Amino acid sequence: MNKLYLGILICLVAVAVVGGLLVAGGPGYARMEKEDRARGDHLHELGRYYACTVDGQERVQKGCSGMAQMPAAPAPTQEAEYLFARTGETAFEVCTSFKTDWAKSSGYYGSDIYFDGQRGCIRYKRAALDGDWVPQ
Amino acid sequence: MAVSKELSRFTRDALVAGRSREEIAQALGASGWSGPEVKDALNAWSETPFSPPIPKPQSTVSARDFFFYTLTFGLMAFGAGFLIQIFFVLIERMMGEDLYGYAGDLRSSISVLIVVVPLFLWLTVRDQRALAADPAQYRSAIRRWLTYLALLVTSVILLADLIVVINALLMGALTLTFLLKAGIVAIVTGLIFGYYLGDIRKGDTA
Repeated sequence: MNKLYLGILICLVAVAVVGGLLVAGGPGYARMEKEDRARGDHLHELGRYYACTVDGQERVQKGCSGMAQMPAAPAPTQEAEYLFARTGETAFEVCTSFKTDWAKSSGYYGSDIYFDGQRGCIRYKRAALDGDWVPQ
Repeated sequence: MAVSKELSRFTRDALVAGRSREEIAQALGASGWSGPEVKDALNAWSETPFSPPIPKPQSTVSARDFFFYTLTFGLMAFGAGFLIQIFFVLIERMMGEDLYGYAGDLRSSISVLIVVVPLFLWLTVRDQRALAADPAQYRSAIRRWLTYLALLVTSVILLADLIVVINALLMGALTLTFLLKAGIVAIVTGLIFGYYLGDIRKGDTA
């Protein structure tokens, strides 16, 4: 009887490990998630950079100190493309492609990043009140 | 209950002198020793006509047992906690709940199980083989204490699990997710309880 209890426990452990790996993904997937996190963080940095520089150097708004230079993409995401686009007179977006659904499904970035499939964009618009660029 | 040295010596001397167990019990009782103390003192000696009286085997305590069994029981408790945590996350994912950082939790728990479970199994199999070769090891006091501690903890968890389910039912908060989680806690702790209960019974008959 003892062997049966121990056997069932081992089966439960096997189910938990296999199920956990299927849900969370293996080491390769974890590495891609880590890259996506770095990519998402860099997207935020780029959004802040463009908010400070999009109107030229004369623009001074809160949080723009030290933002004159474009932040470099962190390893291992240098190969990713970050595309800046003006979407209107008072709006712009910076987009990149994510490798996994982690950034979309984890809720880590809240609603800061807009997703269209694997493509994620951070969007800014100029506030009507004080003219500052704020995330949408 | 531990028998005092004086009581043990008196009992032995009385048995050597040919006094019957009833006579010794009566004399001790009249001198103020309690019933359980008298019973323990007499039970320490084998009921054979052989003289001098043969002491019954006593519990043993050793540093090796402390290390071995504390490690085994610790691994069991640690592993069970993380096993339940994995199932909690899987149940929440299955029920479509949004979880922040669940993948990290799952990977940490899986890492723990990958290390803890094989080690626990190896120690358990080693222990079972040693017990089969020498049943006297069932008398290890540390082993018995830790086994009873495991039974106590799992009983408390099972009772608490049942209380929580009934409370949720009465509060109108009983959901399928809740029920599945309570079920997995009951299954894991129930299996551990059953395993150690069987082990105690095996030890008693060995």
